[in-house]
Amino acid sequence: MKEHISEEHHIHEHEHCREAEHNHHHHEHEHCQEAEHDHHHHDHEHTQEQLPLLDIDEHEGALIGTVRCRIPGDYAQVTEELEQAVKNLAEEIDRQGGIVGHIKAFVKEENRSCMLSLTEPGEVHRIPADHPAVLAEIANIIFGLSEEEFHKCLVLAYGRWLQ
Amino acid sequence: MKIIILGGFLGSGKTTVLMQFGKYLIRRAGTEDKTSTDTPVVILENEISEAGVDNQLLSSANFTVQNIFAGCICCTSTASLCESVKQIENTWNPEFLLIEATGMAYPDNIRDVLREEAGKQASILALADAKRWKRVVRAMPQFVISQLKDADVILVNKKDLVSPEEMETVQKEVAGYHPGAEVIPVCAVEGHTDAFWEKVLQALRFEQTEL
Repeated sequence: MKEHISEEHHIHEHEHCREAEHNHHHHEHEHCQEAEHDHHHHDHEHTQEQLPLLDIDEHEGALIGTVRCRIPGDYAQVTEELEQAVKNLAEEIDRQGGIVGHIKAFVKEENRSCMLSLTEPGEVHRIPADHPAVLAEIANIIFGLSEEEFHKCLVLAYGRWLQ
Repeated sequence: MKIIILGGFLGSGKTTVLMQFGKYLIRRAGTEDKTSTDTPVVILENEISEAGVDNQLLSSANFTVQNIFAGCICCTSTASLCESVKQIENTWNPEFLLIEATGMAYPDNIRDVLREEAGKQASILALADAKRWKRVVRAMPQFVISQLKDADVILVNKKDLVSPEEMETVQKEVAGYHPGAEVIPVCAVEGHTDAFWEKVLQALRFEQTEL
């Protein structure tokens, strides 16, 4: 396990950026039709409609992996599984010689719902529609790996929820 | 509207500090002997990723939050920054606007953009991660040190995760790189008193200097 990364490593150092725009690296992501952008950040509005999502961007030498998924199951159980997945990801990145910048997730329970139906004065008919699930949005920011290596790490950690 | 830019490396504790400091500023507005605005504090949250994580945490704590995703307001999203600041001022005109920068941002760049493109002054409150300081400085020294540049206050966080000797070493290094800043050790996950946050607030410089 590498303890430190030298300055000759491909984490690159550069001066303060005073420009409003950069030429950015190619990024790959699953939901975009274009193969290459000039700008490595998306222009579209932030949306929670794209599920599941695995997307990798690059910024100032860091790789930013965005994962978004809906996971059926009980909140407590799923949260534990996600915790383990995040731990496994960090270990794998470290094992491959990368550095974890920050891995953070917001995990929200979606569960109870029902339909109410009434056609005339009297009893309301209730139809349960409980589908316990958890919505997870995960930002994975790392240094020191290639996009391909990082993509593999993300699939290893989260792949079962991205199908 | 006083603008405070909260900066520092990834995972250094910015959001944790923001929640405590923000709540203090809201309490302060309610107890001060003057007419307070309906929304004394608004947070402008910048996420480098497309995933909304910190903003959801802040919203769940009943803060008023505006978001800029998938870009960095110190370089790639400067136009969004200026637009958002103007919109916040027009919509809420809060006493304090807290801008949480991404962990990849240079806060002094953000301040320069606000001054040059929006005509706004801002102060900088920065965080350093005592636990990871040595490792990240070794890997990317220029970047990490530059992130703390021109900060009025630098909170050296995670004092509970290092020995007193290590903490003293990190504090000295941080102070050595940035002699103009007030350097304060903290443990952000613990609560801090109102007196502490008032001290931090008083150390932030909001002077309106002519360009």
